[in-house]
Amino acid sequence: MSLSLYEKIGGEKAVDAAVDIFYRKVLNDGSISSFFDDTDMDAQIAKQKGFLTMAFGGPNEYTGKSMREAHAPLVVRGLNDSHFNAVAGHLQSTLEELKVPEDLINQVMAIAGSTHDDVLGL
Amino acid sequence: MKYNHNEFKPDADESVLDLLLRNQQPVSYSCKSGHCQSCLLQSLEGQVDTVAQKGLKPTAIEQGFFLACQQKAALMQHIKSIDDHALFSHARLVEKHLCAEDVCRISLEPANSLFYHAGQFINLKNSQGVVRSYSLASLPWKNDLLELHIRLKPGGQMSQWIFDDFKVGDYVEFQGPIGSCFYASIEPARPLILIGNGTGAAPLLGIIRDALHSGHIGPIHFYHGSVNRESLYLHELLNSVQEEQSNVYYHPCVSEGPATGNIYLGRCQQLALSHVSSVKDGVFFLCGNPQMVAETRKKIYLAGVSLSNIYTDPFEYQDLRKSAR
Repeated sequence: MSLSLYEKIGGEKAVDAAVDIFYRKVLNDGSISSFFDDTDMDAQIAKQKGFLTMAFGGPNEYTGKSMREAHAPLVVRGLNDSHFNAVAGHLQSTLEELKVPEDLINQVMAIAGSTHDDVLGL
Repeated sequence: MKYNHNEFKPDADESVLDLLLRNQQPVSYSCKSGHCQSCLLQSLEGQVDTVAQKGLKPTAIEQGFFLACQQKAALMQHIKSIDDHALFSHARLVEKHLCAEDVCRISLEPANSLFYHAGQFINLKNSQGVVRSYSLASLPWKNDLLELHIRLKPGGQMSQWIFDDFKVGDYVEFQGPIGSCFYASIEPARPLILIGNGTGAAPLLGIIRDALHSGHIGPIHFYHGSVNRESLYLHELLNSVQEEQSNVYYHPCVSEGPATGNIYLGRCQQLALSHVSSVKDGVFFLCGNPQMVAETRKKIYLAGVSLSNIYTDPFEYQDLRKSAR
């Protein structure tokens, strides 16, 4: 039996390692940090972990509908393509920093990219 | 939702604790943010949220104990209060010493010796039933006494009681130990950075004692922030620790001058943050004012320190919150 994408990347451990780097990149990016600037850092990190688990092909409860609902308030605040691309860029560089093989990065980016319309409410 | 023998109707998203308080039920609580464990209740029927059991011991989870402040009431059908004797034990006051105008150090002798890590906290319950959390500054193996540092809070029901009415020889009930902000299995050569304001120094004192006792050889930086020299209540003690231990660096900070000798004028977290780049591989402990703890944690994280290397113990004061949570 072949390993799933989630298993190949390293499962929950990989999510933990990635979230630490990814969330820091996002918060340090002035063009998008306001969308993530919740005072409750643990709640934010839990959300990022959920997102990364989904993007890594792991067990998750994300649906197009929940994605849409969760981001609707942000769309009202002006969330657009440039923000989406910035977050995707941080995800990609996080995976590169963690030395994830390129073909796996491409698969993760494809899953993340598939959320585009739901995230932006299109 | 049924609580003991009474039925209550929860509002949407309301916590069990808020529902019970709204209905004037006698229920103890303190921090209301999922840390102190003083609002523990037992689930008989219902769906307990994972956040409502965060930090609980496996034996407590097995019995269906949960944090009332973190649990959505709408998910619970039947809950009950926990018998006091299952949570609380007794301790006797053996020493009380005024360290500063508004800080006193107390030593309690527990009825049964307690296994704990320095830096964890216990919940004290006084004769009026008020429950508050205090951190342990003592080491479990030094003797059986529990050392706590109590800051007198204007209007604080518990601290006022400890200052005025709690006498040597009196008994108090306590619950615990609780908390995960302590020194445990840290590589002995790593830098330790301890940052605390006010009596946030108490758990940090426990942690530094534990680290030194465990043979920590990496540098240990202790940043203690207070208003002025008089309120730096561990100044002599920490100066002498620094003199005796070549790897201990004590950084006293005051927000109001004058700042003389080795005292820095400014916030302790500012001084510590200015040094972060040289200790990115270190383990950080932040204790005291919740806002300071949250902001400093974020800044240290953004400076490149992994969150798993930042331990926190925010002191939430029930009576002194500006607005209800």
